[in-house]
Amino acid sequence: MKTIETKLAPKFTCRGVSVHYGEFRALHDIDIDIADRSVTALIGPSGCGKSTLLRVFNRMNETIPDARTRGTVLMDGTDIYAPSIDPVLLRTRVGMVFQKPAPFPRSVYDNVAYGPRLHGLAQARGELKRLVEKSLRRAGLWEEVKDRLSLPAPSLSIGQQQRLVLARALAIDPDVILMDEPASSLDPIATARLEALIEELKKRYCIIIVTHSMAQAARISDKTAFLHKGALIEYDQTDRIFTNPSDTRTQDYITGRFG
Amino acid sequence: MSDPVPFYMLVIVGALMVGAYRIVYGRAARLVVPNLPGPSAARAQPRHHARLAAALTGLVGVGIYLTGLSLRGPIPSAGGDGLWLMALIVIPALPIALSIANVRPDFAARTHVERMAETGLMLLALVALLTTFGIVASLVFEATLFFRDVSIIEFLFGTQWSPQTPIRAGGTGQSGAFGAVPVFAGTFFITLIAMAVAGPVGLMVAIYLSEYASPRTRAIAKPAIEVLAGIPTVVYGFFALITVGPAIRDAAAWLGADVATQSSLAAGLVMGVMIIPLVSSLSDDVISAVPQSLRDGSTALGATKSETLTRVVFRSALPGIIGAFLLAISRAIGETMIVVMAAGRAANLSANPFDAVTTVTVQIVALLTGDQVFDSPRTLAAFALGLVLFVITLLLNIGALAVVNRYRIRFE
Repeated sequence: MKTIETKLAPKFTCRGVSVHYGEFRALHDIDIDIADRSVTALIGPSGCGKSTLLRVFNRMNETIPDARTRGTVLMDGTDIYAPSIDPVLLRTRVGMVFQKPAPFPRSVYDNVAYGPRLHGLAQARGELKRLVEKSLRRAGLWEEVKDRLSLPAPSLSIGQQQRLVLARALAIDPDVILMDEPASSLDPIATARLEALIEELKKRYCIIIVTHSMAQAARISDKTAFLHKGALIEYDQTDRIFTNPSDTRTQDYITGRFG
Repeated sequence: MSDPVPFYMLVIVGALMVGAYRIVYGRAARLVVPNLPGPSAARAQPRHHARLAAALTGLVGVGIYLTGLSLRGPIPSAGGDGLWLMALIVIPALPIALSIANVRPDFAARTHVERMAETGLMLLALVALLTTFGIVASLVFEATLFFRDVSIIEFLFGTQWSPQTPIRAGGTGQSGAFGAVPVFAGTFFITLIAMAVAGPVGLMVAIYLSEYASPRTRAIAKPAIEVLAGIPTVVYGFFALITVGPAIRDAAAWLGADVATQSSLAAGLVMGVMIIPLVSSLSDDVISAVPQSLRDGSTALGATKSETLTRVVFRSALPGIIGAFLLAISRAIGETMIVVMAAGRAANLSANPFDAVTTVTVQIVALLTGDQVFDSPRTLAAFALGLVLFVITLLLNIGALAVVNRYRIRFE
């Protein structure tokens, strides 16, 4: 019963969200609801604001000087921009994987253990070890690195590094995973593996993914949002966006006429 | 007339090079190049022929000039400058003629220019290398002379240093003591005090500047701190002597202790302040160079700014920070002026920071200034000190490089 309920209530509700970088308006008046336990894809041409929108959900825009966010963003009904919300704690519930995998200059094990150690998630002896294994298994990397846990993480292949940073994010047990073009530096095989993984992960997590690849959005997402010049043009079921979009700009973009 | 070969001859060589360049360039520009299929030397541009000609002319010209320079001393030439002048003008005609003859479609001037550049760079690198070897060789040579008079064991392990005692009184042996332990101990002790000041302070300054300061604060504070590095060390020296030393003495007196104005503490503190900008500036550069993606990755995992800093940024910047510290240590070891003024010249073997001590560099200055017989042990001791200091800094650098490389191999 609970699953059905959470599927009905949106994970995120954005109303009138605008983001400015200094004088530049990156996002304008966005209204969007993001469903839990599903994959939502954000597409649009470069500079359309899709990455900015993604970073609204874990308040990462605040690390950029001069960035201002306005509007309401509710996560499970709570305003995450309320003064009482600590962005540091918010980020433990909303994990993020970036375009370029950036493993810390430490061992594979220490990379995954980074978050749990930071937040004191594994107190008992051996618990951290189990948590690291669980996270690496979920990220589909365990079999490849189980004998190399003490090796420096930067020595892994790019595809493995991307799954490592995913495991690193999963280790602190978030509700949401944000992905900013996670496959853009991966080869087709590593991309296919990552997509299969996203398919698996959406059973547990709310996943929001920014992608440049329309084929990827069509393959993995349940709903797709098309952004253009900082505005949300169209937001619908993915198969509808790609077969029968209602806006001509969406039509033009997905058929490759611009962007 | 025994003045050296006049300088204007070099000017002539320069003029000849320009001439060669222009003549050959003109010839090569008029060269009709058949459009041959496949790789061809004709792909060389007129500038390649011309550069080659200029370089060849310059090489011959400078060769004649240097030959003249070395021969004029022992052999007074009959023709005076005129003969050399003639040679300088006539002989370079050969390379110019050769270059003109080489202006052919099948002459690979471009390849030769490439090889010439490579050779030139290698020669310049060799100059730096040979200079180092020369200095080391001279140090070793003079130090060997010293160790004929004083046993190496006594020098390295002796705890008495008093080279001021007159030596060689009629060949009946020496009364000077050349145990270098107190001198080296003084150097390391003062370096230690200086690093205890400059290490933490410099690092904190770097972290503040790179991570917390607003761009405006940074724009003002960074140059202001770097001004510290521009103050002449002699100014630091009398700051230590006039201000810091007495302040330490007064503070000690207030606490009931009786200490001298000159102390290793005064010298070390002031030296520490002097090398703060060295540590902070270099560390700031390496900390700023840590990729933003690493910081973002840590922030997205719910780390606070200071957690990201200590657990990710600092770790990534560590090789560079070690490098900065080592440069600072070398600077501290080599520093002389502050120590002369603030720490005294007494070769005490003491770990009490309120005692006067002396350092290797100060002793080298003391040994080599004044009227000295050059081959006396007293003078030669300076070379022995220099040699040991050189070996120590060398080992320090090698060790640090090894640490940094091991770290790099592991994590890059």
